[in-house]
Amino acid sequence: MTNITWIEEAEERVKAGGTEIVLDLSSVPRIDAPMAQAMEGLAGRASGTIALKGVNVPVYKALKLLKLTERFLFI
Amino acid sequence: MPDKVSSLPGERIAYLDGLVRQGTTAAAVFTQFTQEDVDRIVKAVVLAGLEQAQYLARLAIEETRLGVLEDKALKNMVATEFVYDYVRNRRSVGVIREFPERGLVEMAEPIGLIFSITPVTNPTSTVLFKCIMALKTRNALLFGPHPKAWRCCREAIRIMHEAAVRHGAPEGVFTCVEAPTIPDNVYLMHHKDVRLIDATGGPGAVKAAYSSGKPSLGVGAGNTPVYLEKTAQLDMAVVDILTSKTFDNGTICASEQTLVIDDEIYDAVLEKFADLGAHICTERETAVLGQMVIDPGTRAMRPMAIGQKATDIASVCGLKVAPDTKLLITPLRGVGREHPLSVEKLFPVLSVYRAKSVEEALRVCVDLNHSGGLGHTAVIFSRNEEIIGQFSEAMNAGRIIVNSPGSIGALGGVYNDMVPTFSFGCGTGGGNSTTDNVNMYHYLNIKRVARRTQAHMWFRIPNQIYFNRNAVENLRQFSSRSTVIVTNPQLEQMGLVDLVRRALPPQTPVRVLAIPDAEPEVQVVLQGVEALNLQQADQIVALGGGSVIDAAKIMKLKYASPEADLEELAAPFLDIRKRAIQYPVGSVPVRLIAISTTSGTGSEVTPFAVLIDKERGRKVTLADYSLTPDVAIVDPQFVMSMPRGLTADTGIDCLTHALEAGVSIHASPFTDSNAMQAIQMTFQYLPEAYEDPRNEEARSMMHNAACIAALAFSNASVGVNHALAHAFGAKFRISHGKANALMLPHVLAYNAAVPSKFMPSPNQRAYVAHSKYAMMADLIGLGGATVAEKVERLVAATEALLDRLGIPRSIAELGISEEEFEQAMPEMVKNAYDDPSWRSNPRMPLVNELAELLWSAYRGRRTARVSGDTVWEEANV
Repeated sequence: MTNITWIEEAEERVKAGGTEIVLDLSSVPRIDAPMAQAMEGLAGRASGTIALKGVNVPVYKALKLLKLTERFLFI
Repeated sequence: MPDKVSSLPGERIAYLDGLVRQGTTAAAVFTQFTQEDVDRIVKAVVLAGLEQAQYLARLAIEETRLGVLEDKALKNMVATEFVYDYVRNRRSVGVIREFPERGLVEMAEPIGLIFSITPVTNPTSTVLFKCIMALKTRNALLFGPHPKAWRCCREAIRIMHEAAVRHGAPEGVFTCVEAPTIPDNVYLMHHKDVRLIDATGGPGAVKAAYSSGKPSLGVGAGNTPVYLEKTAQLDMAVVDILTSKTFDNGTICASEQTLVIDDEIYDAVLEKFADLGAHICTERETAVLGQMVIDPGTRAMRPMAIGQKATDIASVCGLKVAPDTKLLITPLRGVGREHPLSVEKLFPVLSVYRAKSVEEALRVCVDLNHSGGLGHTAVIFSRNEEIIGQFSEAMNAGRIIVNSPGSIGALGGVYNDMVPTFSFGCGTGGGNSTTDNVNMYHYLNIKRVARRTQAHMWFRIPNQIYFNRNAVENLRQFSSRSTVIVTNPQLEQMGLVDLVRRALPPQTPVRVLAIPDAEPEVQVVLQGVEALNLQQADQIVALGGGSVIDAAKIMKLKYASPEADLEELAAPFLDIRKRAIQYPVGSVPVRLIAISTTSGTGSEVTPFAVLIDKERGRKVTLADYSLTPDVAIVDPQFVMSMPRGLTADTGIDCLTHALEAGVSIHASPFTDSNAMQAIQMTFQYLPEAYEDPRNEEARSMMHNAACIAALAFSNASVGVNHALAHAFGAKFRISHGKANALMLPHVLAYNAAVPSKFMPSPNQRAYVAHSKYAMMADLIGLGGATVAEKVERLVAATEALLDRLGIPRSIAELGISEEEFEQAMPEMVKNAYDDPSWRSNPRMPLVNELAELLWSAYRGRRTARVSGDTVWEEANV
């Protein structure tokens, strides 16, 4: 289930100074605990905007419970 | 960070915060799981728990030195297998229960992170039980075990966590505080990310949980009284009690503490206990035990005794008992401080009390119940259902166990069908919020999805209605042993009573009761009841206008149900289906036949009756379908001689009924058809009947119209016009019809405007009063292009009709001074507001609006312009 490669890629772009990053979550039906932690870390390190695309409602709700929704832009 | 500053070292706080973070993440992730995911995981952990039941029991014994290995293993199995049996087929994700007939659906919402305290007495079984509940409900658990049992709990948690994660549960779904301390618990109880505290622990932990301000589940202390009543099956009772009290050395808080035995069986019972391995203590031994195992200061158990074997306790106390002794039985002479062993004893010491009577036994059980065991558990052994009922009534206990062991019985699912648990809610008596056996539903936020339902409606009318000329002849078919004709002196003089007499079957004994021609007062009704009793009447024929028929309805009510309290029956109500007062079902069979001599009230078919409350200067409306006459006769020959003024007043009353029923929130297609028909007939025939009283067709049609309008408002009710007319009419002694007429144009305009406050009504899909007025205008051919125009024309046509009938144009025209009216205003407004009539009005009248309407009627008709307010344009019918 856990596949955080794409988050790691995003991390690389953050480190490289990327300020506008879009993550497409439209094929992610559910996030697990490591993914949630990775996203929290990503949000903490990014200096610019990270947009999440195609987030389904259960995932959005999980992010809401983790107080992460305010740290991403949902498109 | 927690809300409360803590004295814990920084590293400890970081450690606890880390556990909380793991739990909150797991809980958030868990919300995405389906029922199938959850059920798969639950099954896996149940099997893991079952497999390790004995291992965990051994760990618990080694660490706590309490209880019995075999019993602890059994508890672990109950905590897994029995709890699983309860939860496995229950839904806990999404829709969990449906009540289609009520339009209700219950849905589950997980709680989040739950901080759970577990006890030293049942450590691993409580962990297993809670893990299953949490997984089933998609919650995460952070355990704070008892400091003397944390290692075995940690191992139980590890086993459950591994099994759960292996089958897909989120990492961190169960965590455990290692080497826990009370400050740790306090810190976690106040942590902002802990959503619920589930405190299965001692009174201190439970109190701390409830004091934290967090939603909490708690348990209470027990002091289980057992009443062994003389009809009980003694062999079963003795074995059950022995089994229960010695189970895990008495550590289950629901276990038996004091056995209250009927005198007749006392000696036999003790003999049976002794035969099965109990030691019956002497008075001296009891005193020694009391001093040794109970702290005289706190009246609490000494820890050294909790969960220990009977022989070990005896040995420590210096008592000589047989080596195979299972239980120490200590005779008691009372309950309270002077009787140390009358408290909770979580070890195999059982007190016994000899009761000389059932009453004494129940009193002692109440004393025990109130001596530290409120809300917990009580047990009775009896075959006398009445005594079981008395005992259950007397005990304040969440679990009242009948003819079975207290401890295992209270756990649920083994000896009875209670919900299996390891956490006993003890209600407010035990300082808890529930008396339930705590179960999976306590770990859920249950959302109720409530769909709009329509209130049941009806169309109830008298059994028989006879109409047209000579309808009175139908009286012939009603045989009677004794008939009383209720009427008024004028009608008797006019010979109308003779018409009725002639129509009754020959030889019917008849007595005529002539009452004043005025709205009935209580005294008049009571005199009528006296007459009915004197005649032993089985039939009442009410001949007259609304007042006479109303009087007859109430006479019938009081005659058939002498206990009926009219004041109480007139109590206000919002919805007739849910009213607080129920009308009595009469014990005297009596038929009521109503023959109306006016064409307005329709009282011959309605379930209403108006009574004058002279003392308070107000009209009281009684309303119940039991008041509806059994037979109505609508015969125009009884109205041919109606004076013109009365024709006008009653005719407008009929119109008001139809107009108000038409826009009522209780209107239905059934009532609409009657209301619309009556409006059309009234506009057409009332002027003719008024101007040409001998016009029999007009008289007949108006007589029918009044009855038809009444059929409508009997089922749809009336509105604010009637509420105002009742209040104003009673205050100034104005006839009902005239009072209605004076209010009518103003109320039409008021209802047609956009309401300042809507009336809640599940049966109305939109505000339609204006549209229905427009339909009425169309029906009587008033023309108009828009809804507003049509409503304007309806108001104007109503005013024109009133003018044509010679109705005063204002209240002022009645000779009532402005000062007098102003002075009466507060009382009128209060009485109008108290009147039930307006509760079916489409627009909810505010108190100040009632006053405005009265003032508007005072000033006169031409002020009743709809254009002053906004009239809705759209037709939403």
